[in-house]
Amino acid sequence: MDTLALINALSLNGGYLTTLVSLSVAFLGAVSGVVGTFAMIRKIAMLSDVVSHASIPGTAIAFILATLIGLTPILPLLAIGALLLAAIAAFIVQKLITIPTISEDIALASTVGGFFGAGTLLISIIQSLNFSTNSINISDFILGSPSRMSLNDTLYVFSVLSIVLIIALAKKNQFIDTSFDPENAQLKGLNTQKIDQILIFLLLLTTIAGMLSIGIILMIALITIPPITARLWSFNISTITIVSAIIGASSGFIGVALSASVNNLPTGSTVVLIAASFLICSLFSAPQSPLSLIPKNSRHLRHRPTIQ
Amino acid sequence: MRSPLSQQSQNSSESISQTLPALEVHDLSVAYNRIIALKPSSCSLPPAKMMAVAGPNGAGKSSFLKAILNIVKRQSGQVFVNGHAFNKPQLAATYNISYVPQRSLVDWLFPISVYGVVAMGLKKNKLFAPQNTKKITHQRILSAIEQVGMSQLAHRQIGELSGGQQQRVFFARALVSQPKLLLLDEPFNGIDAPTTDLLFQILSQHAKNNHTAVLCVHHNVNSLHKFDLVTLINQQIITSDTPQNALSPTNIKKTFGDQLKL
Repeated sequence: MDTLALINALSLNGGYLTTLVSLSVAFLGAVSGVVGTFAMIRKIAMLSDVVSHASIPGTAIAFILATLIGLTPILPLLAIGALLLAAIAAFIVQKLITIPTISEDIALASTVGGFFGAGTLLISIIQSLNFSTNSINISDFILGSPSRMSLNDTLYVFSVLSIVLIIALAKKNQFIDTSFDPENAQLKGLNTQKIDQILIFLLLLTTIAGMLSIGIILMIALITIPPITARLWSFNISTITIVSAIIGASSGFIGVALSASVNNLPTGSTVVLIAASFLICSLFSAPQSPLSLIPKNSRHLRHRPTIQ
Repeated sequence: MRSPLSQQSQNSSESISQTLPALEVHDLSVAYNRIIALKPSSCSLPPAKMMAVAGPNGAGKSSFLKAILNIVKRQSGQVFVNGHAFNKPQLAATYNISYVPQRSLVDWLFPISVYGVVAMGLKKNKLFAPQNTKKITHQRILSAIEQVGMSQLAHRQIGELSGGQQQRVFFARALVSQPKLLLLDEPFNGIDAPTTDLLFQILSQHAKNNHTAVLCVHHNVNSLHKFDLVTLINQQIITSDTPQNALSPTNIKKTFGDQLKL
C-alpha cells in the first residue's frame, strides 16, 4: 500500500482523476444515504436489488442498439436503457404483489432472477459478437470501473444526483407520513400511491447513477448499509437521514482513496466494505443496537414513565 | 352531491348544523375477493354524539369503519359527512375527520417520537411559513400531548411506551386537528381499565365541547351503555339505536348468537 498516495487522495491531491472520482462517489454515497433512509422506512429497499439486476439487460440492450446505429455508448445513453428496464421490473413487482397468493419476497426474488438471466444472456451475446471494439466494455458499467469516468460522466452523475437530492428533501415529510401510516397519510390528503412512485423513481435514479463508479450491483449495499447503520444511532428521522448521508459520503470518499493507493483494489467493493465496517463498528457501540458493548446511559431510568 | 337529508333542511338554513347528521351511511357494503364482508348497511350519527359499533369477530366492524373512510374499497353505497358526499379518503382533511387505527397494525419500531406522531395529525407547515404559524402549530401539538397526559414522554420513541401510552399518543394525534368526526377501531383493546376510563373521558369531553361525532368500534359488550348510540353488526347492521333499545335480548341474540348474556 502506498501511504503517500492514500494521504494525497484523502486530501484531494491525488491527481485530477482521483479527485474527480472521489468527489463524485462521495456525493453518490451521500445521496444514497438519504434516499436509502426513506427506502428503509418505507420498507422498499429490496426494490433497489430488483432495480440493479434489471438494469443489466437494460444497459445491454442500450449498448447493442447504440452500437448498431453507430452511436458511442456513453453513460447517459446506457443509463436511459437501464432506467427503462428497471422501471419495468419495479412495475412487474408491484403488479405481482397484488396477487394474493404471491408474497413480496417471492415477487422480488423471481423478478431479480428473471431479469438477471436476461442480462447475462445479452452480455454473452455482446461478448460473442465482439462489440467491444471501441474500447468500451459493457462489464465496466455493471461492475464499475471508475478509471473510465470522464469529466462529462461526472457532470452527468452530479446533475442527476442533485435533482434526486432536492426532490428527496422536498418530499421528506410526505415520505415519512406515507411510511408510518399510509391510511392516515391518505386521510391527511396525500396521494400515497404517487408518493410511493416518486420514492421508487428516486431509488431507480440513485441506483443507476452508481453505474460506472461503484457498479450497479454493488449499489444495493450503498443504499442499504448507511441507513441501517444510522438507525442504530438514533430514532429521530432527521438525524438518521443526516448520519446516513455522512456515512455514505465518507465510505465513498475513503473507499476511492484507498483503492487509488493500493494496486488492483476495485473501487466499488472497497467503498462497500468501508460502509460495512461502519455498520460492524456501530453494531457494537451504537446506543440503539442490542449488541452494544457500551452500557446505556439510561435515559429510560431517568424518566420512568409517570402514569396518572 | 348532496345527501337527501340536507336537501330537506335547505330551507331552514339556520338550523342546518343542528339537524344535519355528522355522518350518514347509505347502503354501504364491502367485499374482499368476491366474499361479502358487509351487506348493504345504513346508519346515521348526529353531531356531538358517541356511537359504538359492536359485533362478534369477523362481523365486518372494521370493514364498516374503513369503508366509511374509503380506505377499503366500497362495493356499493354512499357516505355523507355533514351533508357532503365523502368518496375519497383525501377529503378527510377537508371535512376534518380523524381516525385511530387498530394498535396492532402500527409499526412500533418506526423511528419517530411521541411529538412526531402527534404532529402527523396536522398538515405540515410550509417550509417558509411565518414563525407565528409554526409557533401556533407547536402549541397545538403540545396541548394535545398534555391532554392525554403524555407531556413528560413527548420525546420518547413510540416503541418504548407501554400499550396504554401508545394508545394515548394515537388519541392525541386524532384530536390535535379538533376533528368534527372521529372514527376509532377498537381503541380500548388490550388497555387497562384506568386508561380506558381516562381515554373515554377525553372522548366524551371532546364530543361535548368540540361538537365532535364519535364512531367507535368497541369490543367490550358490557360497557356499550356508556355510549349515546349503539350499532350492532353481524355481516349487516342489526340495529342502530339508543343503548336501551339496541341492546334488547332479541338484538343481542341476532348479533352474537345464543352464548352471550349481558
